[in-house]
Amino acid sequence: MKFKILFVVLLTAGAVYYIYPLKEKINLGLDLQGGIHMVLQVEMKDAMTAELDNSKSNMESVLKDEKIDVTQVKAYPEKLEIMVSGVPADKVKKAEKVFDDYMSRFNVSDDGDGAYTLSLKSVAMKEIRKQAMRQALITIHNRVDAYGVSEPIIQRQGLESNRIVVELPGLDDPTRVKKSLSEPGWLEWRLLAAPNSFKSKADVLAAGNGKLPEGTALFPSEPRGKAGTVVWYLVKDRVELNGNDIKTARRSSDQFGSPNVAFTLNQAGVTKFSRVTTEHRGERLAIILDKKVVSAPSINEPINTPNAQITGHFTIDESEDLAIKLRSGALPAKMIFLEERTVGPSLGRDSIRKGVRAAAMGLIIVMIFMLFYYKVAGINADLALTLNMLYLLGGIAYFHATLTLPGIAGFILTIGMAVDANVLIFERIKEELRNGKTPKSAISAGFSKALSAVLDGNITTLIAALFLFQYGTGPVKGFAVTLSLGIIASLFTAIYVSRWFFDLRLELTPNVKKLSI
Amino acid sequence: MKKEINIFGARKIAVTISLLLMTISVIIISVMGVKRGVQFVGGSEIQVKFKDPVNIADLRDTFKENGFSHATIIQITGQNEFIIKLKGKAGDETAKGSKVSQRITEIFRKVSKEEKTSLFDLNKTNTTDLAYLMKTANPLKIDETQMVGEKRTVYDDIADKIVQVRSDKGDFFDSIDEALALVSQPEVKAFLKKSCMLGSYIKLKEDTFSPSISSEQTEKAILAIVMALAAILVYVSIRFKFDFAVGAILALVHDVTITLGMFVLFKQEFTLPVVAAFLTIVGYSLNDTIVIFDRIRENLKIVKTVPLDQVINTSVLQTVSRTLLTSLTTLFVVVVIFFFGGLALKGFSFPLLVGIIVGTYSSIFIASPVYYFVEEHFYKEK
Repeated sequence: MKFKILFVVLLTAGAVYYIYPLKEKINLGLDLQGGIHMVLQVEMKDAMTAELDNSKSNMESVLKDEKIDVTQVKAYPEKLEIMVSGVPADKVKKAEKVFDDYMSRFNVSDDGDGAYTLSLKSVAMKEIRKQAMRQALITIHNRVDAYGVSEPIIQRQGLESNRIVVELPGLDDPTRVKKSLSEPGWLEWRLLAAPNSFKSKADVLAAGNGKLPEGTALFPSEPRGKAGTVVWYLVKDRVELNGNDIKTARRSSDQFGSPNVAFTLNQAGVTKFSRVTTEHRGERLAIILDKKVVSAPSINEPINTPNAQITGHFTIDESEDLAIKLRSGALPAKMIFLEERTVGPSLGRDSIRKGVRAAAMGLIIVMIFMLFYYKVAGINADLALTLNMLYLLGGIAYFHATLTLPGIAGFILTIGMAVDANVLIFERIKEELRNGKTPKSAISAGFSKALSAVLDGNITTLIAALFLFQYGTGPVKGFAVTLSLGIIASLFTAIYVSRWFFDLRLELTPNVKKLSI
Repeated sequence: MKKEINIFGARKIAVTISLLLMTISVIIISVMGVKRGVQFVGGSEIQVKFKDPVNIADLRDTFKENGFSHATIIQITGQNEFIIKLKGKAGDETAKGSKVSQRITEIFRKVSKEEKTSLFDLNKTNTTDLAYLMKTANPLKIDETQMVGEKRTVYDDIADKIVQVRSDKGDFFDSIDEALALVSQPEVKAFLKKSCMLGSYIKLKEDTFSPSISSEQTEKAILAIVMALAAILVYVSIRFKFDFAVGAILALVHDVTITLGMFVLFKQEFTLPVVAAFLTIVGYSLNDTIVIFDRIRENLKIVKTVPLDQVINTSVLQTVSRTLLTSLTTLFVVVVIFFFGGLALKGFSFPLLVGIIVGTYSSIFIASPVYYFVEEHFYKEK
């Protein structure tokens, strides 16, 4: 008995601890706090087509270098294939070697008569898909950062899907957000005006008597580490290269296997890059994406070819991210908007007000009814119901579940459903009393005999809630969560806590002849 | 046994009434059709509130003039608020969709006679946008490293306060000075004064769903309801005998059909929360049935010689008070949600209201007769 009391007291204390203060501990859904919810889809077809075009032009230049004259090289984006035809009979071996060396992402099949079909391997498709998703996620993160949204949610919907869920609390203009998400990244390469970075903006200004040196600009780095430290770079105004000059970039590794970033320039890019690397050897170039410096490599040697590398102490993830950032200067795979919901700031507040009012009214009505109908035993039920509400809120806070408008409805519904178990048990006790049992044995029989019906009834509701959770998105999921937690809490309070109250009463008045129920 | 009311004897009448109601429901559903919400048909739904009264006819005309002849517009009774529904078209998910949204903004501006300026709208803004405006201009000259990422600043507090007060006084400021009175810092005050204006309408809500995702949602919703029904059937047949399960499931089908019929008859709109309500009915309306079945099972163990119909009748009578009481407490709160929970929850609570009443009736009058019928016709020989 003492152990039971301790358990209930501890649990209640725990619940109170988790929900106090309520305003900070309960996560409100976007429908209650206002904001934008979007579901975007990354168009994988774009990413595949880009890969195909890239491989095709790459192969063409290699074939040309190797002096293999073919009649035609054609890409079929819908089939994800490249067809090569008219390979001269004497160059077949050489051509096949080119395919093996340079087209490792493709399966090669010999169609006879010097014709070949190169089809994209499924492993490669998976890789491309993964990269495109990562690029989209990083781009969205970067753009959203600019709005200063607190606690944005940007995540892939499911593990394998092409969809991304974006939730931006506190914003109210979806058109502007959409526009900024679908624009290509703003990527610039500029020479550093001072060889090292600065700790703060003030340091730079102090060095120049409160002004930036002529012909320079100041950009922050991306926040680094957990503390989000930012350093500042002083760069020249002149833009040496921009996003359009870079054809592609990918994670690669040097001869020792340490990760680096390889990128390919287009014709215009090569000219510009060759000039800047020759004239400014030894200086540093800042790579600025969306007004933040993502990297500032030194120029080690003049580069006159389309292919170049950025080396450094990268981890694999870092090099992958940098490659994505270099690529995002050009248009990434297109994103389409499947779903957009915007809730203005006032509607959510209004919903909360009305929801809280309805919950209070429901609670009062049910409590008064239980008191009226069950007299003293009604106090049992009401206490159990109060604890139930407390545990439900505690559960929502503990699991970091989000309270949505349907969630509030689920909460109110729980008030009505939670006493059901009490009703079933009390009615059974009454019945046992009518059959002439003493209060003590009637209580014990009432609880044990009503148990199976109580459990079965609640489990079926729980099953329905689970399917709802699995099916639902955002707001509806919130409903399923509150309903499920409410059912579990009500089972506990009705079977365990309310029993304990009865036992307490019996202990206080052991020889009671009549039970007020 | 003493003489008791023969509630079970009324089963033939009850079943006839139910069959009739179900038939009528099916006819209503197939003739009138389920009115699906924007999530399930694709398109946009905008809830807008104007500062000054706007005539609904004017609003309709302006929409028509601007090429939105397919827009449905309804006014929220007694309010200066409107809900506008636009059917979706393929391609809305791309940049074209933004243009539609811009055109609608123009319409609202015209109807509410809002000036077009490049100033920041203090009536429409939400907290993050307002805080961002101040952060970029930084009139207090806060060190920028203090404003990186998610760090809270004094600007966030000012923005929260302004939006909170505006919402408490009914969504609109009457003058800029009224809003500025909430700001104590003179630099911020001066900055807001020169860069803000007050708009004369706000969008309370705007939902857009592309046609492709909406058809997917429809399929998923149907699947969820069917799967839940199947899972419950499995559970009930494990816990009870199969003949009980048939009774329970037919009672459920009965409840869902009649509720849907009423739902369509009262021109309610099928939205995502309504799916939640229907699934709740599926789970909940079974509770009462289980209580009765549980009692029948218990009584069958005690009395072996009494005919089945009499056992059922006794069991129903023994449990009728709790069946009614449990439904009543839940009904209390559903009624409260329906009348006081606000517009958004009205559509959700309507099916629950109908479902709980129908579910209680079917527990008493439908589930047991079906069980009796199955038992008498398929199991009696054993």
